[in-house]
Amino acid sequence: MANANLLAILIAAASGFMVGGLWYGPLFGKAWQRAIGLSDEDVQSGNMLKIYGLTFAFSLLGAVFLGHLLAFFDTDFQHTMMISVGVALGFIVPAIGTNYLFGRKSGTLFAIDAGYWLAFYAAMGLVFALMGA
Amino acid sequence: MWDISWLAVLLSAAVAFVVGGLWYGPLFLKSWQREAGISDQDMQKRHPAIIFGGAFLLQLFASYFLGHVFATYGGLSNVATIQTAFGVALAFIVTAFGVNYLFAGKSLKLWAIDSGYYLVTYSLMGVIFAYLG
Repeated sequence: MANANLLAILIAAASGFMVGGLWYGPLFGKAWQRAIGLSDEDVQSGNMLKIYGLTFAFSLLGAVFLGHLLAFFDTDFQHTMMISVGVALGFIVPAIGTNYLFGRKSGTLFAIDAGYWLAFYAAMGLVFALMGA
Repeated sequence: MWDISWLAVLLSAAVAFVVGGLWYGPLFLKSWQREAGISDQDMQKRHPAIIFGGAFLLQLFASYFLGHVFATYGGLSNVATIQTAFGVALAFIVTAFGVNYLFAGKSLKLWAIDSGYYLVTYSLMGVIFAYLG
């Protein structure tokens, strides 16, 4: 593994996590619930410790691999941002799009979830760009 | 930017399509429908041309993007190329699905089906880029 900046990895994962709190909270929480068809009771019935714990673990895995790629390719600020956003745009967004096409999900849900991953990876990219991967 | 193996891009998009036809066909169609909550009537919604056409375009875009990464940061060994492709699916796509499915209250089984498809597909894409450049 070329990557060793553990502090940047942790902060990148945490910043993605916080973007999620804003995105699915004050920004698009209600629109997301409507688009995916979840009631307030549905949302509250989830095991929050499990959901947030695993979400942070997944964010950490994404941050480790992104940091590893950036360190391996030794990118400057601009390319760090391009690769980070590109990972979301080039890999995650098409996967979600395909998934939602077959899952008969709405364009609104796709826009909310796709936009989230773009913002999430932009935030992680910014952390690596500023702190070094 | 455009100096990549278009044959590999096309072929890997085609392979993804074939794997998808098997995965969400004879292999796991019924489980997927059950877990995703898609009835046989739901399956009639949305024109197949939009679904399959859209999915192919999205896959083509993702294949191009993977090829672009390999072309830009060339010199990876065959093994490293396949590992990178697998890592992209595991660390970026599978984790993104994981977070979305956790908050949406989707089952572990649905996550396994959808994640498995991308792990298999990206591994094969990696093999194609490794041997076709």
